[in-house]
Amino acid sequence: MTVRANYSVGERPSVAEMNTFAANPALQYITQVNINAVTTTVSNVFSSTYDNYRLEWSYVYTTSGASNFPLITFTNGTGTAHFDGIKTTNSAGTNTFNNQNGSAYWITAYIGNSFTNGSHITMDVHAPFLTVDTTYSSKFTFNNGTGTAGGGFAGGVVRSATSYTGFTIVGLFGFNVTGTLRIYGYRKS
Amino acid sequence: MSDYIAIEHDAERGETIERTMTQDEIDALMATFAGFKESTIVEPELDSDLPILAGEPNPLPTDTTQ
Repeated sequence: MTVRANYSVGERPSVAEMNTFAANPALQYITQVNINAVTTTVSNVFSSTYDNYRLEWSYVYTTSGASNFPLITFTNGTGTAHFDGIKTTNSAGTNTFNNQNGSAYWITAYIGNSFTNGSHITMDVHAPFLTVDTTYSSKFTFNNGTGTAGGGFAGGVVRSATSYTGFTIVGLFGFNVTGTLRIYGYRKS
Repeated sequence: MSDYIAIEHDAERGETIERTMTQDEIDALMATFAGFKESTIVEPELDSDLPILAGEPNPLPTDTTQ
């Protein structure tokens, strides 16, 4: 898409240009998955069309307070290629750190204790389809009902130059993960 | 105990399948959590002193020309 950068004062984009802009947002919708399962596999979502992707998780929660980390695996839960770190701060001032140093999973976020209205994750996944290491960064908020609220951030890498076309979301210790996941691609030009 | 559910979503075809996991799949999944690392929790120190006490000079540089 050609984007003009030289409009003069008083000049307006044409209808055709406006339509082109509207049809080519920077984030382009790919798919939506309504999650309510122990494992959710999303296939055929990464391709050469985009290098980087936005995973937008809404109203995410688990069925156990002991399992409030939704996980992602690019290797179907096998191997030791996932490395990441996560920091969470709650409204009582408690800091919680988690890390996986050669695991089958990434921790995407801390999402609180089975409260349906407060946890959201914005996650960017970089270069999953390319034959380089795949990385991610995420920021999240959580709301433990009448208890604490807070937020945090996480990031990590899959140290494998493998081209992935999909991934699997897993509830830690086999508990359900519920929520809505929308996936977008970052337009390359 | 309720069933373990697996969802398989094909983004290309826009199809979603929901099914009950087999016992073998559940056993294999649980085995993958064996090495999951525990959280490190740092509680706030509610009575700790502030790093700069009231009335003390500000130790931070005040030269704004740099």
